[in-house]
Amino acid sequence: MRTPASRLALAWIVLITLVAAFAPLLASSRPLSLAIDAAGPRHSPLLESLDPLDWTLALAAPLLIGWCLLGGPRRVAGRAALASLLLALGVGAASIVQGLTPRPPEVFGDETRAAHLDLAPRWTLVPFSPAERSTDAPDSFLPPGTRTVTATLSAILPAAPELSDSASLSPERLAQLTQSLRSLPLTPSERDALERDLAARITPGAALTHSDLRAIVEHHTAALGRVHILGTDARGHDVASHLIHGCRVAVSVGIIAAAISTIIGVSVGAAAGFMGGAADALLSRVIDAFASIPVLFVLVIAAGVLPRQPHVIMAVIGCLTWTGCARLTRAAVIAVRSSEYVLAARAAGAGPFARVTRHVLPNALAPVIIDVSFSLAAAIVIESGLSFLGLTDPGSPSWGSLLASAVKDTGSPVWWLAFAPGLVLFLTCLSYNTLGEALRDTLDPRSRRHA
Amino acid sequence: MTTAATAPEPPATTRPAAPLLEIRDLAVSFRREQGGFEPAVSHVSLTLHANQTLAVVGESGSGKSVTALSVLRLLPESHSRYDKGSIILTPGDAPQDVLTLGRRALARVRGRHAAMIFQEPMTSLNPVYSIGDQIIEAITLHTDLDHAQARRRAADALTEVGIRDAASRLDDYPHQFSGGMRQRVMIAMALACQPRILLADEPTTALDVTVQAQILALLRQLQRSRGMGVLLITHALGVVAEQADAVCVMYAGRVVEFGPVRDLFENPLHPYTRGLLRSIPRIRERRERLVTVRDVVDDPSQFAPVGPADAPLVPWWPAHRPPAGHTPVPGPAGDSALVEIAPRRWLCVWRTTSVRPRMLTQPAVPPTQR
Repeated sequence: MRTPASRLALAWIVLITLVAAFAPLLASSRPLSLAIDAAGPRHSPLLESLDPLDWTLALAAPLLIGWCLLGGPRRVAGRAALASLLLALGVGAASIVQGLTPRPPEVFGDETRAAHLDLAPRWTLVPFSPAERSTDAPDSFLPPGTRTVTATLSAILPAAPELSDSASLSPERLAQLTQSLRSLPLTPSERDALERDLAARITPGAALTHSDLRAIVEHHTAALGRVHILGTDARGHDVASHLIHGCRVAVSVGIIAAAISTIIGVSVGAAAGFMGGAADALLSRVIDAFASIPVLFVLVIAAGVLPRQPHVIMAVIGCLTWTGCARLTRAAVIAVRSSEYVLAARAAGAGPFARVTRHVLPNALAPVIIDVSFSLAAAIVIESGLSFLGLTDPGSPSWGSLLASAVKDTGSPVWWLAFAPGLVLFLTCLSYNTLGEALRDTLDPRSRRHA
Repeated sequence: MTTAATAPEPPATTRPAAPLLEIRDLAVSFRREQGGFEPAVSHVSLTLHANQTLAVVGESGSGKSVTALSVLRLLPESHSRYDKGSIILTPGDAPQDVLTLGRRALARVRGRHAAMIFQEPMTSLNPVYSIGDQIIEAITLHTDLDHAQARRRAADALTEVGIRDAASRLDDYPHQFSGGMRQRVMIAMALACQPRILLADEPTTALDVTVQAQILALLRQLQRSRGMGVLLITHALGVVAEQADAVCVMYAGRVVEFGPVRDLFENPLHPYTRGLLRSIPRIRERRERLVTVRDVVDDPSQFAPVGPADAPLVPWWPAHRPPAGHTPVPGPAGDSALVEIAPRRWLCVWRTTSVRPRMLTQPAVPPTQR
C-alpha cells in the first residue's frame, strides 16, 4: 500500500466502485429534482425511479468503502473482504427482490424534458439513460460532442444543396419549415417566444435566409440540448451513460463472482487441508476435476442454455473459478494446522470448527486475500469477453458490448466506441492486479523486500 | 516383592488418596506410510496425585510427549491409535476414562480438568489475536461468564502469573511479549479454568536459564497454592531433582523406572536410569568429551536376575543379548511388565530362565567408562 502505483490503483478502484454504486444518479435522463409548485418541496423523479438494487448500492457502497479505508493499512484487506461479502449478499438479495418486481424502463426523452423545463429541473451529469436511444439519429453513430437538439434541427432544417445559406427562403418553404419546427421539444413558453421571434422577422418584403432561420431556432433551443460527450453507438445509445452503467456490471460481476469463488474455494480448501487423509484425497480430486473444466466453453454453453442475466453469469463464473483459491487455502491450512497454537486451542477444549475458523483460517488467509484481487480482475475480463461475443443480456449495458459494437455494427472501427471502454477495462484490470501485488508485498513476508 | 498379574496394578508412589491421573498399561501406535501401525509407546503406567509434581524424563523419541498428549487425547486422530490401556482422570468424585469419552465429554475435560502448556512459547500463542482474546476464549469455553467477567478473570490470571499491569496488557499481541512472558501467558491461559492437572511438555526448554528458573519457580508456587498435580516433561535432571516429587524414566516407548525422586536418584535400578544419571557432567571432572548415555549404560545382560526361582526377572532392554544361562522370555504382560520391585519402586522387567537369584542393585560387571 505504500507505492504511488498501488495508491493510484486503489483510488481508481474506489472511483469505479463509487461510480457503479451511484450510476443512476450520474447518468439518467430523469431530472434529479423538479419544483412542481414554487413554494412546495422539490420532487425527484430520479430518486422515485430507483429500485431496491440501486438503493442498496448507493447506501451500502460508500459506507463500506469508508469503513474499509478508515481501518488503516493493516486492516484494509480484511475489511475489504468482509465488506465485499456484505455487499455481495446485499446485491444478491436486492437483485432477487428486483427480479420479483420488474418495472418497465421509462425514458425521459427530449420532449418530456422540454415539458418539464418550466419546473426548474436539475439534471444529472450525463443526462442519458443507458436504454434510451437517440431520437435524432436512431440508427447512426454520433461522434463525441454532438448536441441532441442540433441533430434534431439538422433533420428539420436540412442543409439542402439548392438552399444555400444566403438564399432567401420562399414563403411556401418558410411556412413548411415553421410547421415542422412545431415538433421541436420546447416548453410552451419557449415555443411562444420562438414563434413571436419568427413572426417579427417574417415580414413582407424582408428576406429571411436559411442561416437566419437556423440562428433564431438555435438561440431558442440552446437551453434544451444534451451533449453526447463520448458520442453514441450504432443504435443511438449514449456511450458515456453505457460506460457508467457498465461499471455496475463490471464491479458487481467482479465482486460477486470473486465472492462466490472465494467462499467455495476457502470452504473446500480448508476442509481438505484441515481434515486430511481420505477427505483430503477426495476433495483434492474434486478440485482437480473442476480445474480441468474449460471455463469459456462452459460459459458459452451456459449462455445458450441459461437465461442471459448478469447474476447467472456471475454465479457461473464464481462456480467455475474457485479451484485456485481452494488449492491456496488447502496448502496454507496444512502449514498452519500443525502449529502449536492450534494444538493449544485443542488442549483448551476448542472444537474442530472453532479451531478452523478462529485459529487456522485467520493465519492462513493472506495468500487467499491476494488471490481475490487477481480473481476480481479475471472475472471482469471473462464477463467483458462474454459480452464482447454477444453472449450476455443485450439490454444490460456492459463494457464488452460497447467494444463489440465498435467493430461489429460497421465495417470500419469507430474509435470513440473502442477507446473509452477499452481504456476503462484496461485501467480496472491493471488496478486490481497492481493492488494484488501491493497486498502480496504487505501480507506475504516471503516476497517482502524490506524484511 | 510382588509380580504383577496380566493386568498390572497401577504403580502407587506416595499418597494413599485416589490419584488425579492414573495411566494403566497404555499402548499407542502410529500409522505408517506403507500401511500398518508402528508402536510408539507400550506398557506405560503411571500415577499422579494431587499436590505432586511428577517428572517424566527420557531422551527424544522415548514417548514422553506421546504419553502427555494422550492424557488429553491430543494425538492426531487420523494417524494414531490407542491400542490398549486406560487413562483415568479423577478430577472430582467420578473417575472417567479419557480413552472412552465421547467428543463432547472430551472437550469438557480438555482445559477444564486438565490443561497443557507447550515447549515453544513463541509459537503456542495465536499471532492474530490479543492475548486477552485468547485467555477469554479459554475461559468462555468452559464457563458461563459474560465477556466483562471473563475479562476480569483473565486479568486476574495474568496477575497471578506475575505479569504487571495485567488489565492493560490484555490488549497486547503475542509479539509484544518476550519468550518468558509468553510462557507466563500460556500458563495463565492453561490455569484460567482452575484445572486440577497441569501437563507441562518441556515448558522451559526454549527459554534461557534465568527465565527457566523463574518459570519453574512460578509453576511450583502455583502447584502448591492450588494443590494441583503437575506432569512435568523434561530433559533436565537438575530440574527433576529440584522440582519433582516422583520421577518416571522413559526409554524406547516404555516406562523403565518409576519412583520417588530421592530414592530413584540415590539408587537407580534400571541400567538406562544409571546411564542417564552418570552422563551428567560434573564440574570437578576434566574430560576430553562429554559422555553420552550409551557410553555409560550398564550392559543389561550383566544384571543378575531377581525374584522367585521359578520366575526370575531381569531389567527389560530392547535387543537384549542374554548371558550364558539366561534366555529372556516375555514377561507377565506379554513382553515386559512394570513391577514393584521394592516398596514404591517400579521397574520394567523381563522374565528369564536363569535360576540364580542375586541382588538387582549390583551390576555383575562394573560399568565401562571412557
